[in-house]
Amino acid sequence: MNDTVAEYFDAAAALIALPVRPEHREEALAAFLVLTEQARLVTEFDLPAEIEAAPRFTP
Amino acid sequence: MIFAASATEIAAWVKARKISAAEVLEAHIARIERHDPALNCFTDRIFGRARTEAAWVDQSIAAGKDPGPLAGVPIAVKNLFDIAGLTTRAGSKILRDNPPATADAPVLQRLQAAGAVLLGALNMDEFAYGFVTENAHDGDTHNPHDPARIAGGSSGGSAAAVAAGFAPLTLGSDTNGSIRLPAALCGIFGLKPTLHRIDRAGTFPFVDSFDHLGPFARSTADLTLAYRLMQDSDPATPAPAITPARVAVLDGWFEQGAAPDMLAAVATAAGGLGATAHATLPEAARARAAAFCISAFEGGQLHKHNLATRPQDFDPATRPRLLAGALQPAEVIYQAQRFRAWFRAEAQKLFETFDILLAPASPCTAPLLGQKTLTINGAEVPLRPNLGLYTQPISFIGLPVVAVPIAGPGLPRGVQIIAAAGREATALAAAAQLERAGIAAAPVAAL
Repeated sequence: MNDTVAEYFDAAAALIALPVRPEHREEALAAFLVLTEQARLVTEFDLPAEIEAAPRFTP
Repeated sequence: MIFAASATEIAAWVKARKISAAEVLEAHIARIERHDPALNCFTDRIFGRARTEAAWVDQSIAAGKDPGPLAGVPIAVKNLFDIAGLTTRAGSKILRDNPPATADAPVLQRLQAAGAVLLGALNMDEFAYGFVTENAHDGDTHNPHDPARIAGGSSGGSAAAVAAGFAPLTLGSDTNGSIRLPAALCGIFGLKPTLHRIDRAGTFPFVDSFDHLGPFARSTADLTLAYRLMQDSDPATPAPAITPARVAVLDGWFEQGAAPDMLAAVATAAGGLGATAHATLPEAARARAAAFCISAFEGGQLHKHNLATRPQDFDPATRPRLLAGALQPAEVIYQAQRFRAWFRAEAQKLFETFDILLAPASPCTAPLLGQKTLTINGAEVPLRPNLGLYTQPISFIGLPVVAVPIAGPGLPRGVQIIAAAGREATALAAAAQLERAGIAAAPVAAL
């Protein structure tokens, strides 16, 4: 799992042009792993289909 | 001891010419110059401007004019508020190269139009991303009740300055707990109003979805006065009566992991309001998680350019979380914002039965400066992300909260008084009831 997360981390950084310097990578990846654990709590929750995202654009 | 007086008292005395605004100011400056080197609340002191403003207040009164309800009251603001002539740096090194602000933040202008005298800007966690006010660029802010301990954050300078008697009123911001947590750890009152209630113009952002502005004070009267002055329209709602049967202590997530003395503080507040009910805000752990992810994402995206081009200039405590946040998949943020709508609906159901919900403001009293971990539910966990366990689910849905300091020996303990959206008056009335009963109190720290 951690390898998958690390692969995603590096690929996402490249994709959105946010280079992570080698000396910063370990701490940033550790922070990303914490976020991944928190994100699981969010994405595993089954929301009713009619629920809309909180920010709504009002023209 | 003028530095121990409330804003309301100072304004009344100045207007009655019992003391001049200049004398009030000099007393506060003397206290700041004597004690702030040890506490490090202020990052910018603008005493020249303050003396000009105090002189204007005194001249106005001498001319028979009313300078306003904050006549001669010294105030200060977190250094993410624009102050004309100063660079707004939000606790960062990166923004220091920016030109100075050309005008005060509108919300600051409102307080100054009411006669307040601005002392300067206050320390904070870098870019408001933290709960400790241990700042790599500006140093640590120390808790006035025990300088070996943190003041909380991110508005740590704002809370500590009030607790220390440097000003009776300050302003800060709260995205995940940054008003409520330092208020609690420093033993003062803090108000996080309903999301969008206060104009955020002229302040440096952190998370668009959750950023709030609000005041710190040593009394509910001052907190209420500041809150009214900070808005476009004055919601001078008569203070509602608190019905004990409509007050509940939040259980579940809001009890798990809290130190026994924090739960005792909540029980004391509940007793003071005559409450015996408990209520459950379901899925609060997921709400906290969603707030955690959205905050990291929006903050990371806000700072993406500087993270890419000058990452070495960020506080080492901030940089990894912003980098990580910016890289999160869209699915997480979209689902977190959908969950936010669901969680709001759950809270609204609770407010059909209750007017006030009570919860600890923090899981513990003020940790030591430099402390890295905290024990929650018997497990040792990182301190920084876990101090906001009980504040994050509430700001996630923008509810108004008054953080009240529960009177007693030992380190300060704070309780969140949470009301339905737009019902600040109810939360303030409950806080005032506890204050009148002597259950909540915010004495100036003995320095």
